[in-house]
Amino acid sequence: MIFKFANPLKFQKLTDSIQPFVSYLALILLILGLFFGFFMSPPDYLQGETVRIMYVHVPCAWFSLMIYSVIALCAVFAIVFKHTLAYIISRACAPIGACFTIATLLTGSIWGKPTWGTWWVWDARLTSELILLFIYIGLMIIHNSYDDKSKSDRYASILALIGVVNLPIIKWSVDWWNTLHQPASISKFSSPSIDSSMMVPLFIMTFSIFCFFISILLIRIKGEIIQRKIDVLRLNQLK
Amino acid sequence: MKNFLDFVNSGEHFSYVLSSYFIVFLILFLIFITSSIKTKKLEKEFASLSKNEAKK
Repeated sequence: MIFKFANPLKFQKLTDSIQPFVSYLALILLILGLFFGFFMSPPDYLQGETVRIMYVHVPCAWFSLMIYSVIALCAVFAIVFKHTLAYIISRACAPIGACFTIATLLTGSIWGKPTWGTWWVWDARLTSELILLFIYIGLMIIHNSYDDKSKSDRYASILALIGVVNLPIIKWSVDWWNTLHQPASISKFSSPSIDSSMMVPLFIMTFSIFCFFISILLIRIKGEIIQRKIDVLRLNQLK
Repeated sequence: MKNFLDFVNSGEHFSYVLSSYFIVFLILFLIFITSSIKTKKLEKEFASLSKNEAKK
């Protein structure tokens, strides 16, 4: 099944059919998430109304890490199996991951001002998230640095694998070091430290943003596949 | 509804929350639109190149 859709053309046919459905699902979930986030969720006893920032900040932070994990996994597949689709997904993911990281840093900064009294601190969690943004930018620069796509894909895969070191640092920085950033509220699904009235909008917003991510990813993958077809056509015309 | 009215009347916190949501949706909207436009352009370019190739 997986290898059937590993063919870029078959994969493109599949993505064409599911992309509109995923986009509409994202919109519906977004409306539902906003309703629960603003109408059903109470203010926090400590942070007050600013806790509502969590419903966009936390999903963005989760996806900034998840997208990098996808890129790293694709890098392994690309290096081991030399599979074109792995390179294509990796290329399509990098700008989306960078956007989620920027959103995480900006919303975190806005949340930090009323909560900590400052926009920014060189705290372990914040600094490691900023490093993640630099790695994403590095990947995008490498992807666009060479005319020979196979060369840029290979170098970007190596950087992606080196950058994996940063993921556990981001995840556990709040446990390893004394930081201003609060520890994870949902480390175990069985005993989360947040109330269900806040967990419901958080998960709806997370699924909504996940659907947005899938929708944007499918569009970008389609673009990458067409770009490669254009490159082949141009090469044939030159011969 | 009470939760929402309390939020609207929360003064300074209202602007912090609203600006966070605005930033996230703006970023998502921009990447969605730019990706769609880029892919549409590539589709057109590919179609015209394929036509030229077929003529040969």
